[in-house]
Amino acid sequence: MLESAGFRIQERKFDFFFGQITSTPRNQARSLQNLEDLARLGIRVETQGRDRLMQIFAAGLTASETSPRREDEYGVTIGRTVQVESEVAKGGIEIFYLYRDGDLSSIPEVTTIIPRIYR
Amino acid sequence: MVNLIDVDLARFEELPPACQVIHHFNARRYAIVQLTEGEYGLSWQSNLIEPVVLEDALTWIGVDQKLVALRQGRIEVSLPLAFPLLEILRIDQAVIVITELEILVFNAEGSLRFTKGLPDIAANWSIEASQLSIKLLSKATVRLSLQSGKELSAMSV
Repeated sequence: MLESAGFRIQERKFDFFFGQITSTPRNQARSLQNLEDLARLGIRVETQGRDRLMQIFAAGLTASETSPRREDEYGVTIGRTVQVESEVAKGGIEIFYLYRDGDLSSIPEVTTIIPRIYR
Repeated sequence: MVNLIDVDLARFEELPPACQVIHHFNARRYAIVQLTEGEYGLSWQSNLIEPVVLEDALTWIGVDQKLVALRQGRIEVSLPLAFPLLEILRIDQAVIVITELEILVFNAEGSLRFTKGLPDIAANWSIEASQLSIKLLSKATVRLSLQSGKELSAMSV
């Protein structure tokens, strides 16, 4: 587990974000979609894309909430969106933070992201 | 047999709004589903992702963050999904909708049996003896009873 600037994230998530997951055909397609959409937003693993995502995850901690909070036995999940623009696309990345046991003062884990292309 | 045809925005918009059963903002792909009772439109954002279709007592269709189930021209289920859809499965009398971070289990006729959040992304899954095993990206496994939704065991989650 990586910890940085107020959040935690499992290393393996980056495989999902950058197109490396092949566990089922549908997971592979979703992982490749993440890779493509992040690339359109200018975030590529070969050009420090992982560091850029870490910066975005840190910025997301204080961004507006963009999904209803979800509560389950693991804790509370909050989705927040960071706007991202590249030379070819404008979009946003919704980041989901899990606050274990519902403790909103604890350090959250990034559980997944949804890159979105607006234009 | 469900016939799913890729179309452009103009063809999608020719459908009456009530037949545009899956709609996403900033859509990049459009399709028409041809069923015996009529045509239904889908729009979604992910250009590399194909809709998931399951034909059962209802016809279940999902893509990105929307799910519908149709029966003879009626929409029996229409739900936004909190997380991107991965798979729709049928086992015994249950329809199992797997999203990245949540499982939804419906009865075959469309009523919701239970939902179950996941602490990590579902990487793959198997079903045996009314138990759903979800292997997470972290390699931990969550095992659920498909009857009750109760967790049978959880390792390192």
